[in-house]
Amino acid sequence: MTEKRGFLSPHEVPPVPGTEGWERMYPYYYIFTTEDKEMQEYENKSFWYYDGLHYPEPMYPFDLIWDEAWYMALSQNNSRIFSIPASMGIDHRILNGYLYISPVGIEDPEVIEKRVADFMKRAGYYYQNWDELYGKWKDKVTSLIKTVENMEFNALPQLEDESVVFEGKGMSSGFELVRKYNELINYGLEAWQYHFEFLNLGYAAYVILADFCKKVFPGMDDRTLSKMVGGVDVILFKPDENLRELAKLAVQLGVQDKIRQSAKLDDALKALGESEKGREWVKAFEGAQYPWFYMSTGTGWYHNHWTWFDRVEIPFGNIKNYIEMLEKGESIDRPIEQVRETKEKLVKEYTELLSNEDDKATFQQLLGVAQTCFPYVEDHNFYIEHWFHGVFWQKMRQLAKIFVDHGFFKDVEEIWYLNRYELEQALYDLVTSWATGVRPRGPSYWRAEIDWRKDVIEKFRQFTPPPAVGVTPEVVNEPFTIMLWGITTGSIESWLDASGVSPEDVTEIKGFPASSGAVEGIARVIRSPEQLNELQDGEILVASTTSPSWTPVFNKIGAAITDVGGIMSHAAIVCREYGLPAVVGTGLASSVIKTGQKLRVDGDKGTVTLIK
Amino acid sequence: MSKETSNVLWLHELSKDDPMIAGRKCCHLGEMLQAKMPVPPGFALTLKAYETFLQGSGAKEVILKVLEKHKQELLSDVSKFEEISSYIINDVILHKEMPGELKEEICRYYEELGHVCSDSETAVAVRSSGPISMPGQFDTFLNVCGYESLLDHVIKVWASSFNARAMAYRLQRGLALETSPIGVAVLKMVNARCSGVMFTLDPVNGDPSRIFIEGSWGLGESLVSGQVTPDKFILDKVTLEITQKTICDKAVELVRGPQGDVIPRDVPPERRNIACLSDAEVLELARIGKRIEKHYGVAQDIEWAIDDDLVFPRNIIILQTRQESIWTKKPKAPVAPRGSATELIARGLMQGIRLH
Repeated sequence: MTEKRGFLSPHEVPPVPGTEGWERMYPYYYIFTTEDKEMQEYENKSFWYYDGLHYPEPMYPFDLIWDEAWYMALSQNNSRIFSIPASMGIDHRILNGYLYISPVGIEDPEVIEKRVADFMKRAGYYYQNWDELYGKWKDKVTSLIKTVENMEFNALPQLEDESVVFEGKGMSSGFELVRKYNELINYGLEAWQYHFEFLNLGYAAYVILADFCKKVFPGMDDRTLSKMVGGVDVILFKPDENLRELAKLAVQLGVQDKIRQSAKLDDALKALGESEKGREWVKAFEGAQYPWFYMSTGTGWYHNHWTWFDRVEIPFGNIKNYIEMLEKGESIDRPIEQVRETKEKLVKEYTELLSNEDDKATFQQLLGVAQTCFPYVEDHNFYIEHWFHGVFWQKMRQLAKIFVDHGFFKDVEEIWYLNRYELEQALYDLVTSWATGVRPRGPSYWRAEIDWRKDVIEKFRQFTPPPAVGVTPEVVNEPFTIMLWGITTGSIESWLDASGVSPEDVTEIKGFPASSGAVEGIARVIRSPEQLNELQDGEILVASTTSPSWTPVFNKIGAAITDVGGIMSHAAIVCREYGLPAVVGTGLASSVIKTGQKLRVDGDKGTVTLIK
Repeated sequence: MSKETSNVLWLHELSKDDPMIAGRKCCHLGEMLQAKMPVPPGFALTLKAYETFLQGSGAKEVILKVLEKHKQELLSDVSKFEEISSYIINDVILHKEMPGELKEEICRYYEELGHVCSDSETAVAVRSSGPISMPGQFDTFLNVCGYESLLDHVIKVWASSFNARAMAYRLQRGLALETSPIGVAVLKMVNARCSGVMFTLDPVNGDPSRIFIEGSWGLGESLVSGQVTPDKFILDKVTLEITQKTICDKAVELVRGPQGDVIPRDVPPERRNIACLSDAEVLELARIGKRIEKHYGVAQDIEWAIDDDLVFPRNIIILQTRQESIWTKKPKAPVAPRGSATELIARGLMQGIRLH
């Protein structure tokens, strides 16, 4: 008898030395407990896996807000709104700074049966009225974003403006600041309520279609399926599309050399300003920015995922690249017509392969609903993670400036070391001391704490989080767990395989074949978007997760490998779009592979071979 | 002369409705030629030729007597088949001469084939072609060269209709023991660089969206008899992408010996572990497979070879095709009862995805 393999219990994972007390950085309900015995037992019996897909870095206390947001929003849509038959929500914890999640299933068949009836009624309504509801969604989300765009966080005055008195306002800008902060936080949480309004149902439709396809076409890969379901015009590609158009316009107007020869955008704008044609291009350039330059250089989940507005040299560099390609006579148009034709051909011919009318009917039903849902699945990221978050981070930095002015932080970027609850307290401290005319308690309290927290986060960064803790479940019914994180028997097995091997001994890493092709090359491990400029032509990008907005990188790299992600993870979608081999959901690539390592990536088999 | 009364026919004269004329294999080849499938050139000996031979040579008379005499024994003691079969084949049929007219007719066709192949004693495969599907029941001979040898081997194929397995099969099914006319296909021998099989579904799980190809160096028999682990290629039938490629160590290949016989030979080390098919050949083969399946309207089990004398894409030769025999015969129940999309999704979500 071999010993039953398993993961550590969450309570057995040793702390990272020198980080003791880290728990206070996060809300108490995120901490694995040994004090509440009943809770401890639940935690022990559950399956917790590391969400490196969204959190390749340790959690900054403030950035946890988006996790809190979806903790509630995703869960409630499964459990309380749409009554997904056999699953409640997804539970969350933090372990040594890293985020772990656990799908909560329902086992009682009677309860499941009851939930089916509600699901039919509720989900049925959304599936049937999808386009109309999605239209409304766009309006309300856009209007929410504009509200936040219009918020201003200004310095507190020495003396309130006279209007406070003469218009009988009765409240101070200090109080308004506190209120505005709470509003901003709530708008953030609200945006995430909408984020999941359609997503659970969209994923459910895809997962069930994929399951049907696995039965009738056991060898069909997810790439083929996603080509049948996926959109042709995806909003996420629109920002990049604009840059291609701008490159073409520059060539048309004959001003491309002014752009190519300028090292920086500012130089280019100055040079272009000198001619009529140049000014025409500048006008087009300016017109193409809003809201598309809210495109994040990362996934948008972290404060340090700067947008193109923040890092305007990135889109400018892309425009230069595209101009170079045009000059070399290469086409920079995305083969939209070809994508559309492929999609139609796949659907038609795969349908013909089905041997009976019932299966054909089922396939058409499921494919139809998945196709209806997919524009949302593909597009919502731009609205929420890119556009909304981009605006949100800007506003938070305005607020941080006020804290800096009052001596709470040494610089704006320290704000992220307080969680949202602590920040509310700190702000109240700041405003009250301003009101009172005394020194705030905050600076002495927070500056030492922030220094300590910076050190803790750095130490967490050196720690490799285990891919999972707890007990593997019999069944997973939670649509996101299957589709987004790609949790399957296979992925869990490979995590277990790897858990006993020291990183030096690993010769092959398995993951999901996410995009076809095979290539050999040199690895470049990227841990944050800031490092992206280190990538050399043809290198293989290795990251915990990647983002579709890393467009300049995808033009350059030979292949992509990620630790976490299923077939619909951002990395997978973009690699297929760009025709790059990709292996995703490897669990450990970014911790095992070192920059400079020679690799062979097989995007058909889902393997990464380390060539010694 | 009509097809029904001919002893010998060109393959292209046959269509799929003619299995009772020249057996299934010949008809398939004829049909494939008509549908522009690249089969090797050749001709067919009809069931009538079989009868002509057995009658004309006097073999039939003897066989009837033998069987009459031993019928009761055969019915009660199955082990007797080996003995009786051996007697009929070795002591009766193989001693008979080909009747003169039939002999001339066959030789005329062989001569004509020689013109086509620019080789008067062109090497041919002599394949059995039964009117009902009984894979592997009858004998097939490869690399047959020259008139005499051809006639001998044709008789050997006919004789194999009296092998013990075939007779036992007829007895079991209540068919006449004394006769089982089979056709014979005489085909230009392919100078096979490599050869193998192709299924227009995945034989492992029946997936109709896959094309499955196995291939090995040399002639195809090494594959069938399991001496070599072949290279394996799986393609998506719709997109024709190669989704899986497994290259194996192929230590042995069957080649033509100096006397035209088939001999095993060690594969030189530099060829052992490389793919026996280029990607372009795999794709072309799959395209042909798709065309063949479309033509017959049902998944196929195909034998193919790459002819070293010819240039791509004409070097791809289809040796034979038949309906895939396992998955196409299984009744296919619908995966799920029909329902609205929401019903289907609800049912799916209830079941979940099992992890253990």
